[in-house]
Amino acid sequence: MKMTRRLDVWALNGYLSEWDRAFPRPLIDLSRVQGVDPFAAAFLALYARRCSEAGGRARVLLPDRPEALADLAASGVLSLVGEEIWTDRPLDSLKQLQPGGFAALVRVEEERTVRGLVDMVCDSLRDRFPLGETSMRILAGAMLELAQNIPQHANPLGEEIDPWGLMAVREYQDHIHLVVMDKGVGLHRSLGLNPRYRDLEEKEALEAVLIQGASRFQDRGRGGALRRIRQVIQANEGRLFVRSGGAGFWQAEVEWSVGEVHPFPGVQVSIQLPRALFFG
Amino acid sequence: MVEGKAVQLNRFGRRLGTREEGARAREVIRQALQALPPGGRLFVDLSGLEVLSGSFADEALASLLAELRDGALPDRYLLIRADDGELVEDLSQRLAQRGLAALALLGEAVQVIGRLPPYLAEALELVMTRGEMTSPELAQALSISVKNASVRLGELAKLRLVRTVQETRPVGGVQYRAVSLVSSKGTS
Repeated sequence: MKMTRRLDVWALNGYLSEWDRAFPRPLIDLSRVQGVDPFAAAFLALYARRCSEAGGRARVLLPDRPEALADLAASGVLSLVGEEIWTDRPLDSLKQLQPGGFAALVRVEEERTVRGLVDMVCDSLRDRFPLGETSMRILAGAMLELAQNIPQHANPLGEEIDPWGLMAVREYQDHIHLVVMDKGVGLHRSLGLNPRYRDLEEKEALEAVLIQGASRFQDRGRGGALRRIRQVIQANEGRLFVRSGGAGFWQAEVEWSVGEVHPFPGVQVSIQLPRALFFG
Repeated sequence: MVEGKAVQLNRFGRRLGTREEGARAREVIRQALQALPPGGRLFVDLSGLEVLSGSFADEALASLLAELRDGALPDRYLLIRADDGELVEDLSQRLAQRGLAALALLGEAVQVIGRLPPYLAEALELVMTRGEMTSPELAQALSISVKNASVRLGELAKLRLVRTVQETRPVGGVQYRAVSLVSSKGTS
């Protein structure tokens, strides 16, 4: 199946089942893609890493369109997993492609490195935008909470898995797109460590975390960060997408819904904040 | 009231976010509280901060306030000082989650952040307005029983929102006088 449109949060769900049929040696055909958003780019990195860990190698047909190729190069995904994928063209030829606007893709590994990563991204953004106090608080606050969730929750039992956390930020004309993701145990398994939530289905677990502020801890002070982020995004007319395991949560303006998605380990979060907020 | 000391949180950075950092800050704040004389107030100053995440706030401040409520470091008081209310929103939510409240000095105003039931908020407002009150005085002001007023002041004292001073009743026995930690206009 050839992709003929922008590869984004929404389109990705449709292609994942196809890639999984040939896992861990899938053919990821991006040749007709018109653009790649940071969620899809980071997800590609995670997916390629997973293929590599399973002893395979993702085969990627790079976009024909120069704009889409620049998009992909700007995302940083090729430099992150370049050696773990096969591409139909040498990656060295992409080095001269200049990204339009600010873009960053960084690994999130230990909790002690989280603030340095957030500071780096925020300071770079501040150099480019007249960021107001409120907008910076929202963006930095979300980054800090989501990024620290990876070392804290992606592998709570210390299993033989590498969550391989990633954080990406990209500026667009009308919005800022923040992505934080990992391929750890996921919200359902993490939440299941709390006896109160042990019997929940995947979709119910996602709803419990995002709507009720549920946590794997029984300490009343723990949990609630994802719910708070959701509330702040809602109040600022942003968009939120969270996928974990086989469940997905969508929120746009005041509406939200939970549904099924093609299963993938870990938690993947996409936040789009309107650019108007950053000039407010 | 004993003169207050202050801990500037911006010594830990402009954007405070992780629980790990919050735990380090909590120890610094705890040591500053321990060093206070009885009746001493510690102002945790948030000026110069850009972000105070809920996780940091819970680890550094809410969990410490929970310890105080449970009896740790008796007769020491922790207050928040910030330039504006937006910065303390996540802290307020974490306090509410734990069933706690704290006094925040926001510029010239005093605000109770976290969760304080209306019947306690009403009593606290009166104590702050008058500076100090006994149970009979609160009972009279609110038209409630002295026992009820005593319970309210006791709960405020447990949450470290007022200081209680023991004194002898003129007719014999002992009574407690609740003393405001700040004036209602925020004068510290």
